[in-house]
Amino acid sequence: MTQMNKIQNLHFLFYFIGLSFLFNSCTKEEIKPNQIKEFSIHSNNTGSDYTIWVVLPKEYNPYLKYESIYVLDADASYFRYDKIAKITEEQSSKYNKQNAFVIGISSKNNRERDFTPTPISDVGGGSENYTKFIELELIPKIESDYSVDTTAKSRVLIGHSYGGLLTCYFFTKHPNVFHNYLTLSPSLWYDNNLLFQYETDTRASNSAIDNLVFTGCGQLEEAIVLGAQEWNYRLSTFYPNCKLAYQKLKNRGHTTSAEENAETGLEFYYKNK
Amino acid sequence: MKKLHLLIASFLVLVTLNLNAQETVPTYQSEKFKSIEVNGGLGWNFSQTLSFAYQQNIKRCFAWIALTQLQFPINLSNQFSLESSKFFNWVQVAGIGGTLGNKRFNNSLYVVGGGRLYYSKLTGNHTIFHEPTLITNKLMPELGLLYNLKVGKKKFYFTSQIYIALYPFKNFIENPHTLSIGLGYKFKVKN
Repeated sequence: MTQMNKIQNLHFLFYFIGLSFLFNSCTKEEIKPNQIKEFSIHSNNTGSDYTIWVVLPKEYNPYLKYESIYVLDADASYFRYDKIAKITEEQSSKYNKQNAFVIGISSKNNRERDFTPTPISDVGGGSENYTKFIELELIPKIESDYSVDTTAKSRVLIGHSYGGLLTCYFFTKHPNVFHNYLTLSPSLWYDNNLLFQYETDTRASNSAIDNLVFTGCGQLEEAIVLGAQEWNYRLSTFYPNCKLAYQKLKNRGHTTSAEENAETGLEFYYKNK
Repeated sequence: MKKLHLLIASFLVLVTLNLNAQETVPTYQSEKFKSIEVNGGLGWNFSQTLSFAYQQNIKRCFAWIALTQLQFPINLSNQFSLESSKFFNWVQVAGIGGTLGNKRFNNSLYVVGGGRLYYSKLTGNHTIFHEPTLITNKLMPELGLLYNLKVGKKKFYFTSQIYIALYPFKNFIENPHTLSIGLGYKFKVKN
């Protein structure tokens, strides 16, 4: 075989590998565009504007009442609202349960401010205002515009990383807004593990609640695992009426565990609702 | 994942176009070589890396490599409110690949396989955590792509290296890829 032939063979190998990656980029069927409604909302509590995506349930019937699943960081590349909506569709169908609204909240601006309870180096500390935005501004708007069930029992909150921290903040400080939580890779290390102090402080008043909480993380994000397993331990020890599940995904890191944990969490929700 | 696939495909196409742009094929027939290299650099999440490699030209455009790589990440204690943190990665791989170059430059692309020892020990606040210590100790298979560039005509030469850890496949974007530079030494080889 001549030198020229060897080089040409190498070229063909490169093209083949490149093309195989392109073909693998094809995705399976996604949510139909006419199921997605988008609008912008200004919050008087935080002073910021947020883009909201509402994914209607499949075969939406405005005479029925549906559950609502709120997704934080809904525009993150590894955790988009439409992927969550697709998983919701699949899991509700699998367990023969009614599909739900999926409400994605953008977090391109001021994420660190909105999701953290206290400021560190002049950044953060806006959780309380953000929870007011969700409870007093966003949820009422969704409930007035769409046919959703208005009880807390019918609401799910999904958060990852700082968003996971916020789900724990809701659980401890505002337990009457949501009944079901998917707490994914929560940043419970924040401000010297402050959320655990909040849990201790509110334990007596919250111990009777019967929420559903799924906690998920990846094996390779050890600092997060330490917090997540402590969170799950406290819930299972001090909240006997809660339905709980915990998953630590093998060989996964912070962002690579998000979608798979969300899928397991939603399955847990639909299995137990 | 779609963007990553496009990026990889674009990289492969660009490399191919680059090869095609050369004037004469014989210019890029690799010299015979046996060499050892020491490289230092950065890994994913800004960890420090140190690697030792032995490479040998098998036959014209093919070579094999044995690589030992050590990774020590930055101190995580302050960032994650920990009392202490220890972390260590030891990669041991070998592989074969294609090599093209002349007396001054040599480009090599290897597919390597072997094992990785992954160890971490984190300790949180004893007053908060019911189990304050978390130890992760794993021996896992390793599969990767290694690009090596040698620059220099003499016995000692400059080298740079990009290591792409492919396994675990689903954790690709967070795998401990590394970029390093260093020095190499070429042994005398009969032509």
